[in-house]
Amino acid sequence: MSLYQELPENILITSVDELLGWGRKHSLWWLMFGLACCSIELMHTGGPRADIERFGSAPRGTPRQSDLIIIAGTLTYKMASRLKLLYEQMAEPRYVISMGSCSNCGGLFDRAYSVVKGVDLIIPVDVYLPGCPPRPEALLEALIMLQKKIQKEKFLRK
Amino acid sequence: MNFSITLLEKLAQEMAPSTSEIIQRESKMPILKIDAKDLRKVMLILRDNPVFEMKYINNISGVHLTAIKEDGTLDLKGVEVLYVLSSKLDFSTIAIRVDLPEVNPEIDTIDDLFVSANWFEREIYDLLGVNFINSQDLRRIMLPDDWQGHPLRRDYKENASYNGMPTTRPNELDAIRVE
Repeated sequence: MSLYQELPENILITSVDELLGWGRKHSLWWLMFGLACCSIELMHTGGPRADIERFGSAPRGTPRQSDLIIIAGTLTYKMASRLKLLYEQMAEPRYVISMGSCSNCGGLFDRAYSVVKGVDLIIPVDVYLPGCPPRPEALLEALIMLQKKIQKEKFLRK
Repeated sequence: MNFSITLLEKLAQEMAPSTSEIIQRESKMPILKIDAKDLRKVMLILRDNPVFEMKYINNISGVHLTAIKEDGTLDLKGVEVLYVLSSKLDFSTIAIRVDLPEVNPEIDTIDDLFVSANWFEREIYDLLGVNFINSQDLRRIMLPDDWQGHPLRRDYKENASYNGMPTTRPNELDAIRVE
């Protein structure tokens, strides 16, 4: 006779860390930050076929309500200072997905005078997503990887 | 094509017989090469003369002309500015080409003759460093205001960092490369 069978209905047993992680990973609100052609794939990911919202991941228009920023596209030096400002406005804990070759390392614009050679030179990145541009399924994979990372975090302990 | 090549030659004669020259006369877009000081005069005739009626400016583009010398260094040959105009009568097109010197290239503005010319001129100033004299608003249009240099010039050297951001990325493969 296990403990589960002795419990009354509608009661589950879990740890606080597990429960918090479960709640946090399924409410990853992301800041809409489309910079170039990757943002087209980002829009597709929000569409009915990939449907990123079934993971509880809703687009937001302001950094103050966002937990995640998906950098979708080519980041220029002119935009980089704005990106830093947006990132600093997000409440902690905050996560970053670098989507596509351009934001990973400069990609196609490796030799360009105006393009930042990788977003991680500006802000820390949690998931690097290769592709030019990545398909919506790949972006969902990145989101799931980030969810696994969040689930492992001990949120209440420093 | 509403203007014939003879009209264009007449215009070239009227402008400056010694300094103007017609390139690509068989093409759909003949190029009239003129001296920089004649630019406003030519533009006014093309815009206001009822034969031409060139009221629309397609674009203004610029090229930094170079050649590679035998020892591998660059031979800088100045900046070429190309004004492409269209006629509102039958959309025929003409290009006006002006060659500017390598050191301190400057030319009269035409943004009081064509309203849309200002943004094109700002772009050329931004990327090639051409100074448009008497422009109404000559600022950088795309790059940040504190940018150093004009990046489409062939002798442009990229700085190591911009506002604390490094402009190069170390190659990760260098760490595991076996000599």
